[in-house]
Amino acid sequence: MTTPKSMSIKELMELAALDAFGLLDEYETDLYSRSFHHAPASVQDEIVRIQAELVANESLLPNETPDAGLRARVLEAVARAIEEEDTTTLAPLASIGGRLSYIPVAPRPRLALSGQFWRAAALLLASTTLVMTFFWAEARNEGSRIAMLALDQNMILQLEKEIGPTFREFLGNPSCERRVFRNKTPRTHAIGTLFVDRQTQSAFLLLLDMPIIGSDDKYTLRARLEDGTYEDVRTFSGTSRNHGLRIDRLSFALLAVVSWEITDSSGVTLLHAT
Amino acid sequence: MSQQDWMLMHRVATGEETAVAELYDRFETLVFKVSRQLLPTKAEAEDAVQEIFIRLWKTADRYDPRRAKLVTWVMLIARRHLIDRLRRTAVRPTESSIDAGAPNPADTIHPGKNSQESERNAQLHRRIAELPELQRTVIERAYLRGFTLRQVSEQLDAPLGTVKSALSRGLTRLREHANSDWAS
Repeated sequence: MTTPKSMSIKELMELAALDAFGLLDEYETDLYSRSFHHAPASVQDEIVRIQAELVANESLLPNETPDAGLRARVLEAVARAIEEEDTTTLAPLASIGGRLSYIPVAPRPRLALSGQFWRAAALLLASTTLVMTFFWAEARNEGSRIAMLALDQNMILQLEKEIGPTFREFLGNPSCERRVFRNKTPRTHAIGTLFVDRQTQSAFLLLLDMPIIGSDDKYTLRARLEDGTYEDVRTFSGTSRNHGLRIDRLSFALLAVVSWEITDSSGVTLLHAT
Repeated sequence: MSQQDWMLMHRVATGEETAVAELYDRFETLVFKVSRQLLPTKAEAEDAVQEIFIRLWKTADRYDPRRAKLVTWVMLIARRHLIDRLRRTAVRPTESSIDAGAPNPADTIHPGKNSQESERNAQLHRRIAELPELQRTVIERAYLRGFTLRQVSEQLDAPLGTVKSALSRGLTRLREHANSDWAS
């Protein structure tokens, strides 16, 4: 049995309703999405329009309204969920604090996420922001929208040079994993993500707001392997605050590393990702 | 609008309270109505709305404005959650009970629900009743009861492609009928 690599425009149009209502199975949903991205822009626009019109059609839905108190309950439930995730994320630190219980801990305001969690979220989201905006500009061919993010031109050029039009496919690949970096030192407030694609044995390193260092100094991306040894994967200049680096031909050992680090030229670990 | 929508979801993903509230205010009615369509009681629908907005927060960073409008994304997450919920509960109809005329076990568990149910979805059921038999059956089972298309295909002993086409055409016809009702 052969499996289709993509759907025709006719199939895309025919299955638009099923896709919008989540009625396709997992495999078909993936196939639909991939085929959608390869369809002409006019077809994409039409599908997006049809799907929105279909799901927003209230005449197919019951004519009932929620109780007035539901809003407060829902917002409270979401806030609680965010708090809980925050607490879970901080569990190891919280247990250390437990042993030092004589140290007073200030109560955290609701929805004001703790510094560390916020940083972790920011690491991921900033990367997503950049990537999504890149996609946006790439798709719409509107370079000016990138500038709205106030990223420096070097970063844009670097992204275009390093990634090219295949970046979307790279990140959209189900085998692509994200490793989010955390700061290991107060010397930097940088954020970053490493995208590792096991299938193509390649990776993409995205770093924002790195400290600028001398032109002779280099940063290093290194991997800690299962046996506890380290392997330097890539060195790069520190003359720019933002970096987008594609890394090809990762060895099999690097596909199963314990953690990733960014070190400065003296070997100090600035960022760490597990 | 798409870029504003993406920025809104970006803010939701960071847990910004005002963004979550904005998202809620925009989609509260739709999310509640679709929950009410699939769940037997108002209380269950309201519980589901809470869970759906938590799920929207958790998935907010995955929203792609080029792939779908925000309303489509929100309703997709909502429907997926509701279908998961239906499948988790023990009130899923068995194959034998979903034959025409057989009561849905959910109805037996919620006595007195039938009249509410029929009134609640009366308009939709009237429109569905006007569809050709196969389209009607497939919509009832897949769209309203959460069966997978593969299950429906097996239940009806019909090819999967036929089931898909029937469902797609049925949903399109429902939309067209609804639009013409609005216009008239």
